[in-house]
Amino acid sequence: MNALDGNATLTDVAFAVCTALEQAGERAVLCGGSAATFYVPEADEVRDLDFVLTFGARTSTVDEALRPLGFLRAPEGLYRHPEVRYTVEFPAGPLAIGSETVTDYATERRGGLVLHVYTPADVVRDRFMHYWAWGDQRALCVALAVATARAADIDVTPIEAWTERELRDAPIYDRGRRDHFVAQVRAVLAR
Amino acid sequence: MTVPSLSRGLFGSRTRERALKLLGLLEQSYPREMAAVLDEDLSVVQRTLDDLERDGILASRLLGRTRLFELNRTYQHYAPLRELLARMGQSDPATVEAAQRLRRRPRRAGKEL
Repeated sequence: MNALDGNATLTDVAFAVCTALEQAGERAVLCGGSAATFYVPEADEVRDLDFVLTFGARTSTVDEALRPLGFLRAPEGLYRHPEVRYTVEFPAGPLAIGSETVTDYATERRGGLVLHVYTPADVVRDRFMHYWAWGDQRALCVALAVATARAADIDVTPIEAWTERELRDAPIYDRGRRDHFVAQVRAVLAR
Repeated sequence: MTVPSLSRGLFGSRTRERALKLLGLLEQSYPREMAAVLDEDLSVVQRTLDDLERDGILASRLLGRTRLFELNRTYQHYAPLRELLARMGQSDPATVEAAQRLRRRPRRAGKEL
């Protein structure tokens, strides 16, 4: 595994980290804003990659897997590289969007490298969740940008059904924001 | 006389539980306010809040120079946790009383106390 340098893109880092962990026997899935940036690099400017380790992992295993890439664990728990501008973090699992656990994800390959990442539809749901919960307009824009770029992979019906389940089980989110989002996604997909 | 419980409770530590119950009541707060209400050392409260944020249970944002914490609304168990903490908070008279001493409603600038 080659070390990364300052020219590494988010995608380069994502493939390298995921592959190193895979070789160490750990399954890591790219999620959050970094997964959105993977699909639509121009949609968001993230500086950190969030991976959720699907089956848990010892910190020492992660340390050893990432060290050959040049990533070292900082005191605050994230991993930094002396040249690469991106940091790598491992938020607590499980993979979840809203109250639902995510069990399916995409697997991309590049040469001998592998990357497990949220599906485009789950990126749309995940970014929407941040708009729904916090009113974050930027997250809404990113959700719509991913829906636009990956329209063939997006079906609004199951997304809308999921929002209905969330509203039924936890009636704490704003129905108006949900309606606005679904209308926007439908408009994007109708183009 | 009430003997303070040394139990680590449902959330692994007494400070964690008290901080969560207080946030369940207040919805938002910042470390210095929470430390004062809970009568805990500021650094202990800060570390507790940082740990809870790292675990995805709390979220924070900067408002000026103040770091405001609240339950993470995108946390998988946000809704049931919020409900649980509200119940736990209401059944803890000491926390309720401490929270009630705080003024949270708006106050026009320059108005006499």
